[in-house]
Amino acid sequence: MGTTMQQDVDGVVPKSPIDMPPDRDEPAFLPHPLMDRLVDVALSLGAELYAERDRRRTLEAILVEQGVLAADAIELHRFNEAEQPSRDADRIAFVQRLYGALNKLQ
Amino acid sequence: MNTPVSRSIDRCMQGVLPRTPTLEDESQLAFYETVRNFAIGEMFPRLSQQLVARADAAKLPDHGARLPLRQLRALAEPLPLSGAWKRVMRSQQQLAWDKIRSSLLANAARYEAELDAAECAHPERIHCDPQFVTPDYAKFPIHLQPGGYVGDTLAGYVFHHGTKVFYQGFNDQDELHILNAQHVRAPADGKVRRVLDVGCSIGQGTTALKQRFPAAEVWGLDVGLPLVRYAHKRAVDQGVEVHFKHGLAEDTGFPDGHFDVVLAYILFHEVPARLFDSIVTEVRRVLRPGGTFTIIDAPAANSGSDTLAAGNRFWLDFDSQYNCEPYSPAFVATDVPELLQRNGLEVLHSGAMPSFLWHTQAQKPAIK
Repeated sequence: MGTTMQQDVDGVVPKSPIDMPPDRDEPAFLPHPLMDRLVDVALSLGAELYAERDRRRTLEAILVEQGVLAADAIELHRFNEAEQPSRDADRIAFVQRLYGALNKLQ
Repeated sequence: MNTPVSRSIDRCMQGVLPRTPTLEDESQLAFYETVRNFAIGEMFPRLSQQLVARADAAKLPDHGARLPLRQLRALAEPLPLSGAWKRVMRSQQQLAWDKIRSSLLANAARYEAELDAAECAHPERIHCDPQFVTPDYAKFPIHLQPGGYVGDTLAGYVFHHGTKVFYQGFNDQDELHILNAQHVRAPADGKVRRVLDVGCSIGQGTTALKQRFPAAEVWGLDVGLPLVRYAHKRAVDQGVEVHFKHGLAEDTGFPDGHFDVVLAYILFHEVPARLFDSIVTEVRRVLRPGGTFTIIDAPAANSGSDTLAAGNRFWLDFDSQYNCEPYSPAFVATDVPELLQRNGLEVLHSGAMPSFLWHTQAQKPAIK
């Protein structure tokens, strides 16, 4: 890379010590910072969705293997009232994790 | 989704790879690994083609390969795929770190206890100086890892799970480190009593070197105390008798002529170029006459990297600017054999590895 690269190297100056740069320094690679954040949203959504698919597949396989579940038991299940608050809290945390990136916009 | 039932259980090991704290972590890291594979394997080749096409359309020589970086950036700027690729690469990295780190921190006391237990079990194999002062050059969140190697007590755990994603499935069982150990040059007289893995990180190479040289006393040294503590715990768990020292590559504190073999795996591209000479001088000092030094790292100037395609240089620039690799461009511009020779070592071989890496082997001249 020789001379050209060495000249380039001189322009590379590390910016910040150990702490991560504050969010306002997050680079925007796309035409609007919102688009960058939407990519984060899309990736987070994909990760959450895949984790759920993977967990459901694991769970259903175990239950079917062990003869615990009939094939239609999940489709027919209803949560009772006592279970609802934790189900709500889980959904709230899910939404915050999924769309929290939007809240980083300056 | 919160999965409190699985947060407190030990999910055990998969060979030498610890399973993540939860199945959710495992699934999401696998997802990000797949996203990374997509970005590297499918998006990047298209981006490289588009860069070359723009360079050719502008009648630039060498398909744009030798453009100064500012011009290379300008060439890429109008390409929508350029922004999308950079965004996906950086975001998958950030999101993967955040996911695994938050899960580990939720059980921090448990992991701290594991580290303490390993030190209690074999205190004679971990060597730390309470007066050690971490140099500023090491205080960067390399690869965007929050806290970097020195600022997070669980950095070893975070690094191990995070680099599983980075290595794209090729190092789950330390395969790459075992391959590296096989490419370490042994002294011509065959005598190997002590081996040093300088810049050992979490000790995957250190244990691989012990496999390669089972009769030798093998040491790992690193600037990151959390990495050294995790490396020690990992070796204790595996029943491998190796030593770890918290220290500096440029000032190891070992006696003159102490080692027969030294390895530096991906150390040099993560330290400032101003330290290159002092590190090689220190390695020369701790090697006995006829002892060998092997550097395994990214391809550098001597490897023909001055003919890197425009896309590869664009990636290197991205890594430096946006993946917190502040020192890698200077290393890539370095002639490694020349560095070794000017510091009194004899270069024996320099060549490509079967992996994406490059290795250079040298020896300290024997006393005549």
